[in-house]
Amino acid sequence: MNGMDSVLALNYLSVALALLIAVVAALGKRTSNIIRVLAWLSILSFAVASGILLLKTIDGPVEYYNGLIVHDKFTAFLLLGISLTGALALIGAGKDPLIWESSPGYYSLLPLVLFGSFIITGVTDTLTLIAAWLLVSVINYVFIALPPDKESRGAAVRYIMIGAVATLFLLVWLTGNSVVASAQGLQGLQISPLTLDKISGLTIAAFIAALGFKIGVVPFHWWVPSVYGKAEGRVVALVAGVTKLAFIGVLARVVYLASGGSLGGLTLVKYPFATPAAAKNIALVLGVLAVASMFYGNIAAVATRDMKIMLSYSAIAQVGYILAALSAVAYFAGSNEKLAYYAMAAVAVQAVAYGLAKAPLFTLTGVAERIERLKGLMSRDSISAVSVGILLMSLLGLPPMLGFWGKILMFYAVAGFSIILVIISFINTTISAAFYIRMARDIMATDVETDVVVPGDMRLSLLTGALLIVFFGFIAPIVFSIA
Amino acid sequence: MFAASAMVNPNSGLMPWALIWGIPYLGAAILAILFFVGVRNEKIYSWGAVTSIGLGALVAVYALYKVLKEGPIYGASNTNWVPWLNIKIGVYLDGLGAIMAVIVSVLSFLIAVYSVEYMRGDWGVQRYFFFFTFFVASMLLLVTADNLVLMFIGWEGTGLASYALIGHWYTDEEEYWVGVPGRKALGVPMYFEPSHSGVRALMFTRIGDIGLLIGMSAIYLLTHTFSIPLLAANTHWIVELATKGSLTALLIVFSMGALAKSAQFPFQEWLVTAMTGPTPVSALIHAATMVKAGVYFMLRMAPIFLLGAAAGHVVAAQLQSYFYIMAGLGAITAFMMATMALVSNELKLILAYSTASQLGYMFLGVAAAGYIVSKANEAAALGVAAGLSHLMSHAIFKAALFLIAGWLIHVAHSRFIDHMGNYAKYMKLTALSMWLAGLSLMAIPPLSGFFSKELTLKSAEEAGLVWDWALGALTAGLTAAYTLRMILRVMHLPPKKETHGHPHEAPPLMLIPYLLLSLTALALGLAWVWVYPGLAKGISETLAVQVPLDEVKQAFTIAVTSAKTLGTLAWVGVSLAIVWYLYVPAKIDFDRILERSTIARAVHDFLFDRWYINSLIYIFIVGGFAGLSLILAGFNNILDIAYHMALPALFVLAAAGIRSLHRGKTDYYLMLYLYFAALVLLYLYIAWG
Repeated sequence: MNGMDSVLALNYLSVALALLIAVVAALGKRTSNIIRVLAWLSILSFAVASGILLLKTIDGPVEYYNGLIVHDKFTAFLLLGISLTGALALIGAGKDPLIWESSPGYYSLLPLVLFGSFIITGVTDTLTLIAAWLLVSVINYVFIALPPDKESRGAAVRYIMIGAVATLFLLVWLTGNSVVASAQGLQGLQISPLTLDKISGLTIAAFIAALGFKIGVVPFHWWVPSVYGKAEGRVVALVAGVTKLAFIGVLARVVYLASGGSLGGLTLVKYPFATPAAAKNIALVLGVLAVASMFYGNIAAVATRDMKIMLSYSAIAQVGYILAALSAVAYFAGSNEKLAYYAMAAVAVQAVAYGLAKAPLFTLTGVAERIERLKGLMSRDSISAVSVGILLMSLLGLPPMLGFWGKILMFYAVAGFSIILVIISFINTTISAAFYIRMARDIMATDVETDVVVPGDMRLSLLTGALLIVFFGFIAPIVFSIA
Repeated sequence: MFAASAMVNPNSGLMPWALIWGIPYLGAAILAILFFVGVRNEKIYSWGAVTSIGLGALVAVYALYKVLKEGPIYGASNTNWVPWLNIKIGVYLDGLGAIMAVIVSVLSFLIAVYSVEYMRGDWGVQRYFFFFTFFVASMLLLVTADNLVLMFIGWEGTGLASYALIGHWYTDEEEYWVGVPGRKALGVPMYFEPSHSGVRALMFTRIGDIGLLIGMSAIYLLTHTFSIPLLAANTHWIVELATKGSLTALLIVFSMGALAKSAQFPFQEWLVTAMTGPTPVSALIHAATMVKAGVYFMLRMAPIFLLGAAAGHVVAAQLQSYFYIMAGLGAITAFMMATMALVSNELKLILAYSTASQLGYMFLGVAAAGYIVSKANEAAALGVAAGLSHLMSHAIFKAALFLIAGWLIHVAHSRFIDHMGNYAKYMKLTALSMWLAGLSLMAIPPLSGFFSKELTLKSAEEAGLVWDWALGALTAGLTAAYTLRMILRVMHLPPKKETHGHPHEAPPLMLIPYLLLSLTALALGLAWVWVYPGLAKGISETLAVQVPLDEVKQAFTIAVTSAKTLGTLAWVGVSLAIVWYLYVPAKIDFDRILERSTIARAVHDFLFDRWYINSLIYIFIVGGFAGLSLILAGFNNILDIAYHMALPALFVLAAAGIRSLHRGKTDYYLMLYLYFAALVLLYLYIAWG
């Protein structure tokens, strides 16, 4: 088995184990620990595959399926983050999902969504993207509906309905792409250059609208507080942590290619209407959406004491930071490889930092929805308290946590084209300090003691997340050669 | 040219010469560790300090012997201490450095021995001896450092120790105050507690240190070196500054640290109130050593500055302006502080005024010599000769006087001389010591003070600085007057107020150090003819001094044989006679005069309240900053309200507004989603192409 095969083999093993879970459940072992073990093995298999992939991509992009899938250092790092985020969600959920009637869905769909992430983040072809999109999206909707409560199902319905419209926008993008590609390639369609440009603009707008929905970018974010805020914390950890990272990956890939970037000289991958003017327009739109998302998310989060709501809105703000880096990707792709590289690194690092922090924090909302209830956690459970503190400080962007490198890389890349965007990002970081530090202070208080008992699995998830955040804080600069 | 002037590379290893300051630093570190592990035995601390300082002194004496015999020693570490600044740890022992190291270490040793008895049973004795040793180490580092950064570390170390020792009795009982309790001048209190005095000392000297830092940084930017020998070897920086017209200004800023450290006008106030510290501290830090750091700075740097004079008229003119200002400040300080000493009724305060006044002489001596830039080489030699001679003789006799004062204050249970009197009857040896040290301070031949003071006045005379010379000469008479008044009141006249003391001779551990010092003041004067060739040899071995030994020797002989010297002596004699007449035969009751005469009282108050300078500093500078602070506090309150009330309220409002958009209805969300998607589509459709 050669190296490339090992990645695919481990991925296939992961999918096979996921399917086995369904079989085991059908054999009447729905509540058996075997299901958890299989899920664990499946995720482990995917994580190892992602690690191997990261090592392979250090030297340059790697092709799969005749170039339909191309992974580079950024997507490989993202995949590793996705697998670890999934693991954290699984640890945090503990045995609770086993008592749900839908438990086989929870355990078997998680590995499948990881495989979908492998496809969607490395996609170079529009049709493959649509296929992967549908796989990941449908699993996403199912995740929300899994817990056996009314609110989760209500949230799932809302999510599915708006998600369907978002998928329509993706189809608009697909159609527009086909039109432009046909006009350029086959010369069969007689369309004036101006009209072709207009169609190009519309298609990229449609793509941003579709992906904007998936990752919760303002003004396509309306579902986020309702779904994150109402659905069960254990499944929100998957949606907000795992699948969102996959969608961030594909958005970054398309923006990079649409703005003139190339994947290590692979001629196969060429976007139909990438021009410098297009790149500037995409950068501008993404920059504006980034600013809107940062302000919207941070301001809405600052005054709430509902932990789930705070995490939901701050998720919007975090996507704003990632979008700021993406705007730099669009601006520099094809014109300044060095800054484009830093911008892509910023997207990957910021996204992974976000996922690793949010997944365990969302699971924590399963035991305490209000922040006040966690006041004095330090006195009762110092491991959980310190872990939560580390996760919050990473979201804030303090060294030596991974979030620090995400912010630094983002500031560095964005400063190359818009110092105003840097200042706005910095102001937003300051605003976010108000709620992150306040929550950390409450948790660290030693003069009171909370009545909340953090279950062992959840504590392990928080601790593992904190350790990974610190570990990756040291590793990320090496991976991206920025130290 | 002498080898000393050209030696820019080390001719020795760092050891054993770094032991001069290394042993006391090690001693201080051991004392600190012992304290933290719980050892409280007083004798370990006192004798530990004495031993480490004594060993440092032995190395210093050996170093001086080597320097006088074989020439300067430049020992440095093999590797760079701070690579990016190109700094090594280095010891530069030329004539000046070696002599200073001996003066500092030997005097410190004697005062440490005195302290063993003086501080016995004190509640903070362990802390006292730690800071005492730390101070001595820092002072030795300062005078032997080969570069400005190392010198600055020693400089700040002495400042830190000084702060701690001035505030040693930080519980602020009234017996440790300086000034008359309740007295105010222009509405400003004129009495100071130890803790307050410590902070004052730190603040006043820090202002000067900022200047020193600025000067160091500026010179480094021009030369890319902090090495003192290298600064002397390559004086292009002086020329460069002069070409830009900023040499005078920069040198004054650079010398601010020295002015503050040596309590020269306008920084003199801290030294006066530093007398709240234990008396041995006053003797060591505020008479014999630390206050001399500023003079040492001038002695070290003035010859280097003068090397630039050869570059032409532009440099010379700006150097002259600098030295003119420095000489003026020295002369003013000497005169001003002497007038204050005339009316003071606190024994240590009289000595403090006297110290600042004598330091003024030293500044005058160095700076006035520097003013003669047309003969830069001779000027450098004369300046170092004048400054170093008076520094040495003053350190000895003033240390003796302070140690005596410590004993007398202990005997009288009071710091005021009104509670002292007739002590000569009970303590002959102490009286003898006070007379010897006092006569040296009065500059009466053949005591050492006479020769050294005349050298400083000779500098001013040679430079043609008539006013500075006149102030210096006038001050000589005033010095004699306040010194005689002090000795008469304390030793020979009955106390003015009731006293509860039981006068008796000091125990040997205290008596021997000050007796030795005062006898040294006499011996030094008697042996001046033999001592001074050695001193001259040391001066001729000093960095940037480029005059042959014989010429340096000549500078001494000329000074003490001029007509003006005799004139000054006559004025001192008149002054002494007046004081003797007023106090002994006439028995003038000055208190009655002050009660009856408004003018006399106004003059007295003006002098007693230190020319109102302290009050003016508090009113205008401290008050000014307090006013600014109030304004800023008001501004801060507005910001505080905005930040803690208005801004959060705004955010709460905004957050509620944003969250109210989320109504949980799917159709509503769909509408919003489609609406904004349409906006983005529209924008890109228009913008594209």
